[in-house]
Amino acid sequence: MAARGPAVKKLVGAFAVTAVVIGTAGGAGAYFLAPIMAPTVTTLSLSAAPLLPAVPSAIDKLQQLGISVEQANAIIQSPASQKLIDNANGGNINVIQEVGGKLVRITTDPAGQRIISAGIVRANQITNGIANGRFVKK
Amino acid sequence: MIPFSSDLEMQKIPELTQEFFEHVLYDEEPLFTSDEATIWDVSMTTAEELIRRISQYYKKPVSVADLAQPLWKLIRQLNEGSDRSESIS
Repeated sequence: MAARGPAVKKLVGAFAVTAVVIGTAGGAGAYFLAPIMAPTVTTLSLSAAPLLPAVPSAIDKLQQLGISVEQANAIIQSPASQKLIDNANGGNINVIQEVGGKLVRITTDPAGQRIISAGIVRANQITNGIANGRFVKK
Repeated sequence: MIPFSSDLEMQKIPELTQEFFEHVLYDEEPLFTSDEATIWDVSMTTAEELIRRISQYYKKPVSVADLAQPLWKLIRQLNEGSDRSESIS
């Protein structure tokens, strides 16, 4: 954990900036294309998977983007992050935040209790998903 | 701190996973995929398109129900009986 300390400090500022960007100008397509929404969250009783504070592979890959585990959590909890309920996927939540010029997706279970996956997405994928009804804003 | 779900099964099939990402999810950039993740947790592509890509590359029929299983199971299923199966531990 100590090794991640400097990275955390270095990037906290970046997150604050990107949060503002997302909240004001970023993610425009997602905001503008959002249809009239009446979110229907389907809460699944997902089978309990082993939980770890962070798995090594996740740490390594996220750090390739300059994201620490702490920052991944910050993205999820940030009110500036775009949160999309995935109707095609049992109500899992895609949390979208711009980091370093890329849109980072962190997917959690419907209750937001664990991180299921993470990756990079393009804006048009989000807007298309909203347009076709797969995603609705939370 | 929100925990990451385990990816032990995914870590057992890195080559097969890489191949799947390269040939099916080539327009995605997954960074972390846990064992409970389905293809819907790593792809924003439509079911029809995913089925088309998978069938074209793996030469096997897949259904929407197949896509709903954890990704590591789907990848193993797609590689069963193929030359790639020797990569499955």
